[in-house]
Amino acid sequence: MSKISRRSFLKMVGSAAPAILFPKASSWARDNLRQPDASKPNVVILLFDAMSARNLSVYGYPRSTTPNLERFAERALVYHSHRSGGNFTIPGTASLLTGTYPWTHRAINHRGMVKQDMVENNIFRAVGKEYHRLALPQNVWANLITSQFANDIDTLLSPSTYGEMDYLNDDLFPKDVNMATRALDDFTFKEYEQASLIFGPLLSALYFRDAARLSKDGYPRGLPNNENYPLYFRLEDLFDGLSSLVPGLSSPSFAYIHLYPPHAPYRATSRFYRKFIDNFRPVKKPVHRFSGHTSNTRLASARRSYDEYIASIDWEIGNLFDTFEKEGVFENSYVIITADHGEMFERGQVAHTTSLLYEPVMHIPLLISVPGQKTRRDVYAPTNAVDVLPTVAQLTGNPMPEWAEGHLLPGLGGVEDYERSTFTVEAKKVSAFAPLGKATVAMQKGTHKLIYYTGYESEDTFELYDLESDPEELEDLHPAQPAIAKKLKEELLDTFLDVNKPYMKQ
Amino acid sequence: MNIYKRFPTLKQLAPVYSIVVVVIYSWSLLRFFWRLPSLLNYSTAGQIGVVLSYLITINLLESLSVVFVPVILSLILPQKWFSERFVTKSVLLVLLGLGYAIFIASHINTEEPFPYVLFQWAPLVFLLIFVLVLLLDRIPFLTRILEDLSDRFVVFLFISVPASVISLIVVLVRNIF
Repeated sequence: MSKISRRSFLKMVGSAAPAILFPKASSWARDNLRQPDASKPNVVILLFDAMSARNLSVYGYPRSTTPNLERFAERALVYHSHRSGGNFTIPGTASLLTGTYPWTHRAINHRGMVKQDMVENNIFRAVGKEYHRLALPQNVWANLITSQFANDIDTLLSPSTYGEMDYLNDDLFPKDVNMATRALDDFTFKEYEQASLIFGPLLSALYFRDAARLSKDGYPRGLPNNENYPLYFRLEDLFDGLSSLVPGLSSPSFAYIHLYPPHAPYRATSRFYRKFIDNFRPVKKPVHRFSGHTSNTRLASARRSYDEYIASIDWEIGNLFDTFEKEGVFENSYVIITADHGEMFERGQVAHTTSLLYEPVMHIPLLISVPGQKTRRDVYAPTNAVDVLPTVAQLTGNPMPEWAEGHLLPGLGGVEDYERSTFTVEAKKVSAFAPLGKATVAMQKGTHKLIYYTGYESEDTFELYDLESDPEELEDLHPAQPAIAKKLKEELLDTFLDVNKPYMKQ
Repeated sequence: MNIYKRFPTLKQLAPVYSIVVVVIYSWSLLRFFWRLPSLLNYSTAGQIGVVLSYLITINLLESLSVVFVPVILSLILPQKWFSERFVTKSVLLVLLGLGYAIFIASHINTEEPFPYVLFQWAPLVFLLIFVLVLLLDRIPFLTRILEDLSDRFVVFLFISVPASVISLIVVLVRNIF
C-alpha cells in the first residue's frame, strides 16, 4: 500500500469536505464548471428532410442532382445501404435522436411524441454536458420531437431562425417549448383550423399579408416554405446562416441541424428551374393497391421538381462546404449528412405520406466526414438511422448507451455486418399506447428485404425482394422463394410480437 | 362628469362577459374536441391538460380584450347613447361582433387564398353593428330577450372563471419554474 504524506492527506480532506457538506453543489460544480476539452472533435449533423438517396447522383441517380455531395463523398465514409427508422418526419427524427425504432420510442403518429419514460434517452444526453449541444430543427414537426429533449440541449434555435418571417410562438416560451409549440403553433394559432376565434384570424391576416409581400426573386415556383406553418425561407439565407453558425461553434460542440428542404413544396431556384427537362425515364413500376393512385404524368412532374430542388440545395451545400474548408471545420469536426426519410414518385404514390415502404421512401443518404479525412471509403453493409446515436456517443468519448437499439457504424468503431436485421416502421394510424394493429414493417437482412403489411386488409400480406439483383423491387419473391420467406417471416413476426407485448392487455 | 361613475359595475359587466365567454370558449372547445381523438393517440392525460390550459389562457386574454370594447365605449360615448343601457347594448354589440368573427374564422379555415375581403369590409360591418346597437332602444322586444339571455348565461362564469384561473396558473408555473 502506498504511503500517504501529510500534505496529500490534508489535500484529500480539503477536497472531500465540500463534497460531504454540500453534495448537490459539488455535483453541480462537477457538471457545470468542468473545463471544456477543446481537443475533442465537434460533431455536426446536417439532416435534410425528405431527402431520398435514390434521387441523389452521389448514389448513382442518372440526373446530376448532387455534384457537391459527390465532391464531399471523396473525403467521407459513404454508406450505401442506410435506411430510415420511419417514413415521415416524426418517427424518422425520433429514431435518429433516440437510437431506437419507432415501435420502441412510440412517436409513430402525425405530431406524435417520444414516450415520456424515454425522453431522457436521447442523443444530446448521450453526448454529455462536456459538449455544447445545439439544435436547429427548421421543420416544425422535427421541433415537436427535438424540443422534447430541451433539458439536454444548451441552445435550441427556433424553426424560424434564418427564415423570412417569424410568426411562431415557440421562442416566447423557452421553458416549455414543446408543449407551447404543440398548443399554440400547432393548434390554437394554426394557419388553418385555428382554435382561436379572435387572435387567430388576426395573426393569419398579418401572416398572409406579409407572405404576399415577400420577394420571390430567384424562385420561379415561389419561395420555399414549411407546408403547414407560417414559415418562409430562402435557401441562400439559410445556408449563409449555417456558414456563420457552424464555424463559430465553440469546441467541443455537438450540433443537430434539421433542415426543412428538400421537403415539399419543391421550390427550385431559377438556376436549376427546368434544368431536368430531359430524356430520363425512371423504371416503370406497377401501381400499388395502397398508393394514392397518382397519375404517371403527375409523378414525373413532381419528381422533376424534386430533383431540381435537390440540385438547388446541393449548390448551396457546395458553398457551405467551401466555407467549412476555409474555416477548418473539416479538420476538427465530424460532419454527418443524412435525412429523416425519403420521398417516392412511383407506383402511384407521390411524396412520403403513405403506408408503402419501398426503397425511395426509406433509403436515405449517410455520408460522414471524419476530422482530417482526405479519401473516400464506401460501406455497403446495411445500416439504419438508429445507428447514429451510439456512434455519436462513441465519437464524443461516451459509452454506447445500453438502451440504444442501433450498432456502431462500420468505419467508426463498428463492423460491416451483412447478416444483421434492420427495420423501418410505419404505423401512423394506430395509438402510440396500443399494439401496432395497423402497420407496415420493412425488414432488411443481407440482400433481402421483407415488407409486412398488417391490419390493412382481412389478411396480412408480405412482399420479398432481393435488393442486390433487383434494386428497383420489381419482382416479389415471396411466393417463389418460400424457404427464405419463411425464415425472414419468422424473425420479423417474432420481433413484432415482442415489441407489441408490453402494449397487449393481459 | 366623473368618468368613474360611467365605468360599468361588476353586476353590469358579468352578463356581458358571460356572453363573450360562451362564444369564445365554445368555439375553441369545439375545435379542441375535434382534435381530441388525434391527441389521445399520442398524448397522456397530463399533456392534453396542458394543451387545454394554453388554449383556455388564450381564451381568457381574448375574452378580456373583447369585453374591453363596450367598457371603452361606455366611457367615451354620451351616457344616453350607451352606458344608460350598458348590458343590453353591450350584449348586442359583442354578439354581432363575435358573429362576424366566427364568419371570418370559418372562411379562413376553408378558403384559399386568404379571404382579405372579409377584413376589408370589417369597418363597414362594425359601423352597421354600432348603428344597430344605438337603435336598440327602439326595439323593446329585442332588449328584453338580450337581458334574459345574458342573465341566464352568467352561470357559465362559475365554470369558466375557475377554469381560466387554473389554466393561467398551469401556464405560468410551466414557464417560470
